[in-house]
Amino acid sequence: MMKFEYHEARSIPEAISLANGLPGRTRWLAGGTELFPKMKSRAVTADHLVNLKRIPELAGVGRNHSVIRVGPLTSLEELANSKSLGKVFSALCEAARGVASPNIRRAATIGGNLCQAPNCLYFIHRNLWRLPECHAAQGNTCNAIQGARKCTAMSPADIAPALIALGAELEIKGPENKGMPVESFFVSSGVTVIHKNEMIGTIAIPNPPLPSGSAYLKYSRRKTIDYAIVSVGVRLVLESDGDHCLEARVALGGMGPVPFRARKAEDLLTGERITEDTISRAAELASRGGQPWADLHASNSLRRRLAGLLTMRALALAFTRARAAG
Amino acid sequence: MKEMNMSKHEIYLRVNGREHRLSIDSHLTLLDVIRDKIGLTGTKRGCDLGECGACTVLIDGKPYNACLITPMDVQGKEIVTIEGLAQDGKLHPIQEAFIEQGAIQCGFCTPGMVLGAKALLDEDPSPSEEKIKEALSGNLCRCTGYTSIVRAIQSLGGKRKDGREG
Repeated sequence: MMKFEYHEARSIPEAISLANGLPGRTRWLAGGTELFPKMKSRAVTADHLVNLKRIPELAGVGRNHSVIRVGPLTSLEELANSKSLGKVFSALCEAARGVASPNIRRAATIGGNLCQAPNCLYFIHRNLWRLPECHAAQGNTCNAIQGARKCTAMSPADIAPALIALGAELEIKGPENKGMPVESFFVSSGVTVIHKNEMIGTIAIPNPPLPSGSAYLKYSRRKTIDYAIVSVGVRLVLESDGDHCLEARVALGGMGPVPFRARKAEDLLTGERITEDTISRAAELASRGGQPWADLHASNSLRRRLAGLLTMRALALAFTRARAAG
Repeated sequence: MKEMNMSKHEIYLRVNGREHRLSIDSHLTLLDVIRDKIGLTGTKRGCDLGECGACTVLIDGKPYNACLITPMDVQGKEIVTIEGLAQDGKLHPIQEAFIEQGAIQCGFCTPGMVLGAKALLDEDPSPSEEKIKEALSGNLCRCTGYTSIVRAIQSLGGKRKDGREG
């Protein structure tokens, strides 16, 4: 691995002042399961790494009556098995359980998963293959699709669609603190709105009114290790009759450079009776959204078909769960 | 030269019950340190990217990929490598079972498989086939087709440390 200077921070202000003061490229070190492989293949570089694992307030799951607060350094293993999350947040548990392998989930963190770099092979291996610096590496070309004016890699974050479906908000710590819904966090594949001296402080997930149910489904080539080709997170809040939909949230990953809400599908479901027919019409609308590119992993049309199929299954699952909860 | 000195770190690792005080460069992973500094080469370097599980070690009883961990994070923790399983020249029952069931061919994945199996069996003495496959899903084997590995672990199912069934 390329050499770097190693630092440890014991509080958020200490980490931020380190990042402000250090020369060159500084990166946060959380689980390391994304950063180290990408540093080994020289896809990403760093002069300094600031280890955040000594900051106690960044890890763990806390809950009160209205909101669940997940620290960004909470391991995916903990989220996958978390009892305090319960049935209402099953989309998050399923998303965490779907990432990589058990060994990796023990070390990987949810904050790191949200901030991961693009998984485009032309980005990861550009130094090995002697390709010019691409958009994702602050260059001005795309090695995957000739002539593309911006990065064409699909959104990598496996967890993001689940968090978007659950209406999660990020609290960003930095010189100035700010907050935003998860769907506003991403600029393009692997690029987020936060700067080098900022970090995710907390992920706050509102406790939805009952009865509600959520689900997350992902398609990848192998069940373990592989990133999602397409992933879908949904949450349905039902009216007290248990049939009509009060609020629907459908979020898609792998269908464009950033994960996003399928608003047309959501609008179709809101206020409607949830039936096989409304679910399949909403799934159809979801599959038409986004801007999927063909890449090494899947063609454009495969991504659309997967998005439709996964949305249909996830909605049916979330509906069953919501009824069971009510 | 000043920079070179800055990146050295004094660390203290406990591997297989033995204590090691080392001065290392910060860019070394736990795998680099175990193999190249401590000299325990039973932990294998496969992909070095976290995809194959050949470098699996136990940290406080749980399996991790050593190639993705900085040694700074495991100071003071109990690290067990494959060399730590055999006691007084006698193989661990899991190692015996792997030999008995022919779960080793080239042997490159075996240290990771055995340690993954140990963590699983410590938690659940008679795991189902599904649970074994899930627990070892991050450990790749290109020879055995996994059947004999699963069989070896299942053959230990229900056996307690005192040797009695149940």
